[in-house]
Amino acid sequence: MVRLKDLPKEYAEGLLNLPIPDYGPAPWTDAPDLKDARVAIISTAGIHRASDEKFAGGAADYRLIPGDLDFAELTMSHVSVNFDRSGFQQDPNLVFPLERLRELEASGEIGSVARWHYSFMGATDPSRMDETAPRVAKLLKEDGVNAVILIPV
Amino acid sequence: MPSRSLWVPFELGRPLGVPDDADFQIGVLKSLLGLFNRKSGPVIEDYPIESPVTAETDAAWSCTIPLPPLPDTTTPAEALKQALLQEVGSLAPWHAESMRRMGRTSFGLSGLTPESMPEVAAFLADVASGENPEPLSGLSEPLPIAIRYMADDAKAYYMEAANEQPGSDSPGGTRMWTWIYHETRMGQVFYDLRDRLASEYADRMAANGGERPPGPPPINPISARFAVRPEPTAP
Repeated sequence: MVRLKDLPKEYAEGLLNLPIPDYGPAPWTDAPDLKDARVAIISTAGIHRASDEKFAGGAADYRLIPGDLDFAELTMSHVSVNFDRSGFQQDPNLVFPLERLRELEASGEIGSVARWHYSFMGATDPSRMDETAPRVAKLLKEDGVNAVILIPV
Repeated sequence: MPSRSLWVPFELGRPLGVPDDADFQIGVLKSLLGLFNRKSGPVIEDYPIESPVTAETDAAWSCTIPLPPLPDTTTPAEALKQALLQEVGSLAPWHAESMRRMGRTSFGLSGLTPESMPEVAAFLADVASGENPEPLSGLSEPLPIAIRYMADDAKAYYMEAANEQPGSDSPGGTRMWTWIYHETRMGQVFYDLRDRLASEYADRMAANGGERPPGPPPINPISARFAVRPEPTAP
């Protein structure tokens, strides 16, 4: 994210004062070698296929994004008017680097790109996602995913 | 497990750094994926490379489409609406070219298509001026939420058209938003729209004994960073 000093003061203070849920300690887990990694993206940019239901304010649910998605199908219904969509409109890879992952797969630098990726509404209090996050984790496991990149926006 | 985190010094909304720059994006992605090799954590590292798009480089950017003058009509609202429609007409070929080149558009949250942009602009201008026009046919949501999605679509239309024009590289988000809000007729309409809806909400709150009335807060198409309306410029 941007440097706080590059933001208007009230914006920076708002970010600094955002509450952070405490999920307690978690055991360290070694990751697979990248050449064996099946990688999925989890985005909080409020993106989804245009045919999907738009995100609503406070939404804690998610949208499935297929790994073979054509970017022409992708849209963004993030609820915040403060959210900068200009980069996404120019190049969806800027927030959802699916084409870049495919290139890394083609060059053998990662094992494969997941069949499914996931999108959340980033303006939602993360504690509201306590129910949906484990469901996504289960779906990721069933897809054989062993490496996830979280791309906040 | 504890996450491995890469902090990046880019504008909000641009976590991979630079649009349409695959090499730059791959560099960010490889740095992120490289953190998987760490054997202990938690890990948080700073990405050392800045975006080549800065406030300084953005300072040179301007939209080549001139702001249309306000015509001499009976009311300021009608003059603004006519100028807005002229502005949309100027952008239309650039937006069509953007769609042709990219094969996609972000326009569509409202349920309408980019060809409806003149009708969207006229509708927003009418609402902003205090009228209550009939909702456009084909909207995906009822009013007032449809106003928000029409405003989002209008912004997408303007930004995609502006990005398509020759002469300079695309600017960063802050410069693009400044153009929309402060340098276009659509920006003026957005401020008028915000002020009308906020005023009506204040009236409803007063009628409710100073308490928030039932329902959501008013639609506001203006980002908090641009909440202050710019000083009017000479026509």
